[in-house]
Amino acid sequence: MRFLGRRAVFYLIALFVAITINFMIPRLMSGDPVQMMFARFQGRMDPASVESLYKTFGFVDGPITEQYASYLANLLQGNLGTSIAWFPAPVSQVLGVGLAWTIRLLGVATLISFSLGMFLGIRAAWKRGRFVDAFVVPITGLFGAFPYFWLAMIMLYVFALKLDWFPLGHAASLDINQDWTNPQYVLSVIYHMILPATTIILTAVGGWLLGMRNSMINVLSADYVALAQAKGLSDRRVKYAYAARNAMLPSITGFAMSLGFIVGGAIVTEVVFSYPGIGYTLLTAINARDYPLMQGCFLLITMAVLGANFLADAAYVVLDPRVRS
Amino acid sequence: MTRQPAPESNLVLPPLAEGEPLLSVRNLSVVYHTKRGEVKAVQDVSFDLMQGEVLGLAGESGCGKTTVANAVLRLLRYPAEIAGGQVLFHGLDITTLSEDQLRDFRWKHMSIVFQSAMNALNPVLTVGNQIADAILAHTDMTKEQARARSVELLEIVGIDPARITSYPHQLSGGMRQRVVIAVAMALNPQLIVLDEPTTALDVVVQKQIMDEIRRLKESYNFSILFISHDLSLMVEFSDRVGIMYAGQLIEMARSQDIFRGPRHPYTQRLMDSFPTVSGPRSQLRGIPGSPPDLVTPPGGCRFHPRCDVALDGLCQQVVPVFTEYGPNHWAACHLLDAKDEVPNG
Repeated sequence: MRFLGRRAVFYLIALFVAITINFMIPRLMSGDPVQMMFARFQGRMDPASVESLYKTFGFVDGPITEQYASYLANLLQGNLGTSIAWFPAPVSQVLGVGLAWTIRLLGVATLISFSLGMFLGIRAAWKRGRFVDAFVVPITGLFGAFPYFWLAMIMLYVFALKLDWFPLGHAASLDINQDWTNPQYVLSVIYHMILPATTIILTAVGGWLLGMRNSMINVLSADYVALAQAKGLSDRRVKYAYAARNAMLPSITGFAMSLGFIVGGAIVTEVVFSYPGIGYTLLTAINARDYPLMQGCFLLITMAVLGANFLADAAYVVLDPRVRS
Repeated sequence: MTRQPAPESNLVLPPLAEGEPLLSVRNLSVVYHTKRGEVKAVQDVSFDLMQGEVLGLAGESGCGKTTVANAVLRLLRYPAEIAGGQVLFHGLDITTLSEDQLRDFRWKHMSIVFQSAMNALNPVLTVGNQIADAILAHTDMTKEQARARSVELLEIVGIDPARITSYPHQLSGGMRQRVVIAVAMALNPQLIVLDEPTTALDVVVQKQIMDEIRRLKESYNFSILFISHDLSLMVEFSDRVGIMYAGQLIEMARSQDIFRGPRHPYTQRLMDSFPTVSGPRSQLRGIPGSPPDLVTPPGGCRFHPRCDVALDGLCQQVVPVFTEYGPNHWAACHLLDAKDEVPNG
């Protein structure tokens, strides 16, 4: 517990640093969205409208310390400002929508690829040179080596455009009632998820598999596994409680980290499949010079990565008794 | 995908006849399949171990003593393979057992204490669970009964039973080795193989552990096959000692006979390379050269390239026969045939 407490303090400090940098960056860049609009109007905008635009977007005047204080105060209230691209929606609302879709898509895909990778990795190491080891390992490795956008476009071209098995994009059909109590809507969401999720799983599973396989092969040669077998334990007990349990420890860190990166969204996936997640939102924000939204995205991603790291530490405490003391 | 726990295979051991050895290894050969060819790690090794006896196997690293230990429990895994011979326990040939029979046989009748106590315990399970695992795999005990037995076993090996919920990293090296011994004793086997049980421990702890094992042996009456490269420890601890060189047994005798009058030139050199605690100071000498490559072992006596008293022609070509030269004193050396007198090392 003291270990987790120390980690928590560390992550809070890291978060504070990230928040501060997030505050600084836009202020170091020249120009702001209002000046860009001003430029676009080629001088036909009077100073009063410029002034009112600044007010509307919530820009604060005054020395930098004052700005910083009001920035922090707003953050604590969950107020991330107003989006410019989605004006007048507040940034938090735009992020909320994108985040929900991203977590659904990437959460499911990551969970499946991790579990599948662990399971196949255990199999491959346990029966070395047999089917899983000899065929599944190189094939998933091959998929993992494809450039992701290329695989995504091929999938989209073949299964959506040519064969017409799956929709071309978006998270759900637009012509049905968007309501989670509507089973048709839920089915539509799942249906829209299959192609992007499969693409992510295909590219990700190889890495998990290979990592687990190698770690498991190492552990299988450990004396305690030999002793477990000699003791007459069932293969199942040796495989899971003695070998896999230890071999999984490095993968757990990787998994928790990847949970953090989920929130960053798979920009390429979401763009290729026009999926309305955080990655897609971030790209839109950049194109529109929507600083408040960009800041919001960065903040969210930072918090997710830190949170996931903390989760990894907590998982380690549960799984590895050596960390506890 | 996974195999079910072994059904009770009801392996019945025939009773030991009067004077019949508990363990009898007959012409055991083990090879390791490598890219360079077959490594003949153990060749034609035969010995008997009587009930209640402590039999030691000594030799340099790589001489095959650990391979023999693993072969006796059939723990060898590819690329190692038993290439020939028999391992008879109560007259039952272990090399012919099926996997299920083996799973049932091992630990119930014969168990092993591995070289490194540091690595023999699963770091993520409590020591109690690791002892109980062995019990649960072989008996109908409930978890509570197995736990009670684990507590009892910890007490037997001299560990505070409160340690049952400890993880291996919370124990010292000596305590871990005691736990490993408790695991080995879990089902009261008749034979325990000790494969360098104290190598990873410092000398003081080593002494404690060996005393503990001796005490346990007296109380629980199991036999021991003791593997070590530490000749002085071995001579002190064992009733009889076998010396291995390059995969072969080259001398075997009661330990005091090995200690006082080693016959084989290799054994003599080996004794010279250990300091004696008591007795006169003498110059320590190593053995020049290194053990042979076992893919293509030298013809004749395997020791002849390093032997300074080898007989020209004979030792290079003719394999010496393992012969009894004194009461219960066996050796394989041409010199012992050439003259009755022990060659002077």
